[in-house]
Amino acid sequence: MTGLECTASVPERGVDASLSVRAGRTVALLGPNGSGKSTMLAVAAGLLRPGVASVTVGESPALTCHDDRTWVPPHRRPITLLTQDPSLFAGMSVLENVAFGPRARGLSRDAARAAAHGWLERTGVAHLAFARAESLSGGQAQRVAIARALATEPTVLLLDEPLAALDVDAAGEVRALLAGLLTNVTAVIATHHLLDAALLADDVVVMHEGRVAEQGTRADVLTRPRHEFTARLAGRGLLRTPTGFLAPSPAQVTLAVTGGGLPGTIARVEAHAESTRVWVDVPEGILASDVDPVTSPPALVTPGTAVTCEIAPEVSTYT
Amino acid sequence: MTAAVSTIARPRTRAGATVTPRWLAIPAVAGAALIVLPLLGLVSRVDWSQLPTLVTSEASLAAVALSARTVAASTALVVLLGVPMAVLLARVDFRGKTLVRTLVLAPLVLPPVVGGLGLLYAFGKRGLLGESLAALGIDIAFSTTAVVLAQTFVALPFLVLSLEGALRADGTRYEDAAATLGAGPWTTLRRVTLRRVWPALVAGTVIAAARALGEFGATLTFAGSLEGVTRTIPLEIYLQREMDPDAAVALSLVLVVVALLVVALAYGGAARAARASARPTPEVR
Repeated sequence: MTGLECTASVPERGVDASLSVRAGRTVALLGPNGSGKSTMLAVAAGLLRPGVASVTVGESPALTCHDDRTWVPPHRRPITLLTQDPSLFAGMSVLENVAFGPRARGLSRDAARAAAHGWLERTGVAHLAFARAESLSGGQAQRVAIARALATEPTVLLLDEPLAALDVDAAGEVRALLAGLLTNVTAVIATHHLLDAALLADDVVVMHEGRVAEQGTRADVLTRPRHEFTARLAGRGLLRTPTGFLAPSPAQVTLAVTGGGLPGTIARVEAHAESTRVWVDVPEGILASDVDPVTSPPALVTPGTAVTCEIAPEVSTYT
Repeated sequence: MTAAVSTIARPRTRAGATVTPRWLAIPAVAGAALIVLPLLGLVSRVDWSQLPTLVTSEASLAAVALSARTVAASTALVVLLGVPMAVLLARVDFRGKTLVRTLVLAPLVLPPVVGGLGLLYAFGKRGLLGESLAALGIDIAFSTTAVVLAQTFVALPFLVLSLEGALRADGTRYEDAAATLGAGPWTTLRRVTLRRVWPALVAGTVIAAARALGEFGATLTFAGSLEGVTRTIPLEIYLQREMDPDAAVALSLVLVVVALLVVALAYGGAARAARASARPTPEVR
C-alpha cells in the first residue's frame, strides 16, 4: 500500500535521501534545521526539480510525477503542501481562499463554495468565512490554510512545520485539530517537536545532514532511538555499547559527584519546569538525568564537572 | 469635544523626532522650493479672465482631444506589453537577462529627442522596418500612431521598473501555494500574483500615463507637429510659446492640474490598495 515514494539527490543542499509513506498513514519527518526535511517535501510537491529524483504517488495505478523521463508540474500533482506561513491570498475572503483549490480542480463556483464551507466547519473557523484573509490572527489563519489544503482532497498532504509560527497555546489547539483531521489521510509532517510526532504520526523518519538516519514506527523510533538527534528529541540518553544501544530516560539515571557507575563530564544544563536536566558526556555516548538544583550539590548543575552516572538495572540493551 | 480637548491637553507621543539631523531641513526646503517655485511662476502668469477662452480655442481643444486619445492608447499598450515584460524579468531566468534589463531601461536615461530619432530610423520610411511596413501599406512616421509609439517608448520603463521590483520583493511563496493547490500558471498569475502586486501595477501605470502625457521630444522628432494629428498638448504649448504666451501658459496650467490630479488620485488609490491587500502576513499570535 504505497501512498508516496520520494527519492531525491540535491547536491546543492547536501541532500540525498529516500522517503516512503504507506497509504493512509502519517509520517513525522524529524530532524534539526537544515537536515533536508523541507527539501524532500519541496521535491515531492514539485516546487524543486533536482536533476536526479523520483516521485511516485498512490497506487493502482501509481502516478509517476518525476523520474528520468517524466516531470509533472506541481499543479498537476495530487499533492498539497502546507507551510508554516499560511500564505493566504490577500484580497479574497476566507471562503474564497478555501474554495480556490476546488475551483482550480474544476468544481463549479457553488460546489467549490459549499465544499469550502464544509472544511471551514471541520477546522472550527466557519464563523470567519466572510472575513478578509489579512484580518485573521496567526492561529485562525493557519486553521484556514489547513482547510484550504484539505479542500483540494489531496492524495498526499505535506505539512512543513505547520505549527512553527504559532505561540504555545495556538500551536496546541491546531495540533489537536490536526490529530483529528489526519486520521486516514496520507500525510508527511516535517517537524522538530516531539509532541508533533507523538500526537500526529504513525511512523517516524529521522533525517540528519541530508540523509535518513533512522526510521520505523513512532513507538519504536522514539523509545529505542539509534541516533543521537532522535535520542535528544525524545529526551533520552544514548549509549553505544558492543552489545547494542541503551537509551535510558532521565528518570533512569542517577548522578553523583563520586559514586559507582559510568564516569563522565557534565556537558549541558537545561532548565525545565521544576527540575533541571543535566546532559553528561560519557565514553560510550551521552546520558541525561533530572536533578533538583535546590537540594543537590551545586557541582551537579555546573558544566565541566566530573560525575558518575548510575543506570537503573531495568534498562535493556537493543540492537 | 472631549477628543479635541484631550489632544490639546496632552502632547502626543511622537516617534523618531530625535534621530534625524535638523540641518537636513535646509537642503530639503531648497529642493522643495526648486520644484514648487516654477509651478507658482506659471500660476502667477495666468491671465485668469482670458483663461476660459484660451483653453477652449480650436487649437487648444484639438491638442487636448489628441492628447487624451493618444495617452489612453499608449497607456493601454504600456500595460499590455509591460506586464509580461516585468513578469518574465522577475520570474524567469534566461541568458542575457542583465543586458535585456539594461536595454529596457534605456528610454529612462536617453534624451527623448534621441529616442525619437531611433524610432524614426526603426519605423520611419527609410528605417529598419520601414520597407516591410510600406509593403503592407503602413506608414507610421508623422501619424497619430507615431505619437502613440513615441509615448509608449518613453513610458514603458516606468511600469516595468515598478512592477518588476514589486514582484521580486513579493517572492514566490504565494505562487507556490497556489500551484500545490492545483492552480495552473495562468490562473495563478491572474488571481494570485497580479492581485498581490496590484498597488505597484496601479502606481506604475499612472506614472507611465503621466510621462506619456508630458512626452515632447520623441513625439516632435518622430511624429512632427500637425494640428489634430500629432500636435499634443506639450507640442501646442511649445508652438504657442512664441506666438501667444498667454495661451501657452493657460494650456500649461491645464497640463499641470491634470497631471497632479492623476498622480494624487493614483497614489491615494495605490496607498489604499496597499493598506487593504498588501499588508504583511497577519501577526503571529
